[in-house]
Amino acid sequence: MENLGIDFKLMVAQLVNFGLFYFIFKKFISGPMNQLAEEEKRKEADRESALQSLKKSEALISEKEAALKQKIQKEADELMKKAKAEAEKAKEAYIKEAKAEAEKLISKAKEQVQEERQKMEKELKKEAIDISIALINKALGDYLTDNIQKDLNKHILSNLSTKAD
Amino acid sequence: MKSTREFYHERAKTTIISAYKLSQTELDLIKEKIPALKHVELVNVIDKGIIGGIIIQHGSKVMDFSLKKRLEKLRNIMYENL
Repeated sequence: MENLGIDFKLMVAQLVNFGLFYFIFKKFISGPMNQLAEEEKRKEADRESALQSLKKSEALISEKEAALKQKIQKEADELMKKAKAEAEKAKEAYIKEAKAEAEKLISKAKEQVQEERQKMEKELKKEAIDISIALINKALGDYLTDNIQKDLNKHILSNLSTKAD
Repeated sequence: MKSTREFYHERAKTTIISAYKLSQTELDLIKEKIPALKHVELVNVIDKGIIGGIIIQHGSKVMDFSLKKRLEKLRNIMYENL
């Protein structure tokens, strides 16, 4: 061995050195580094999982939001439809009421006109009667001479006995 | 001559209202037709407003035979028939 240039003691020392170096490297450098890498890998996996979960949640929320929007739209449409129907109903009721009121007013006005006309007719007739009576009065005043007056009184007095009884 | 108002207030006498002055014959005829007036003084009051006929006012009793009254009756009947 010595002829080959190999020092056995040195070789043993180098082997011991190498073993020592290997032990220290494995114990204090390679191990923690591996642990750190594993930890990072695990964290990355967790993040990926969380991201997937988040995406799923987001999709679910989007679906729910869409469904909710649809539901709200449907309810709003129904409410609008109902409100329109009610408004139409109220409008019809108002129109009907207004028509009835108008008819009532027209009828009342007609009645008033009729009453006024009747009243006027009555007044005119009364005036005609008064004028007629006044004319008769005047005509009698002109017509009844003393002789006619005497004849009239004679006629009245001849019928007086029965009337006085 | 007394006014119509004065005669209306004299209840003791009997008032005969006419459109012209009545003759004594006519007054006597009234007394004859109404025995209650036989011994009562008749006072003739002239009122052209009654048109014709006579009104006998004896106390509170009035007998209206005037044309004015007839015309009023006629007017009332015509009013009632309107």
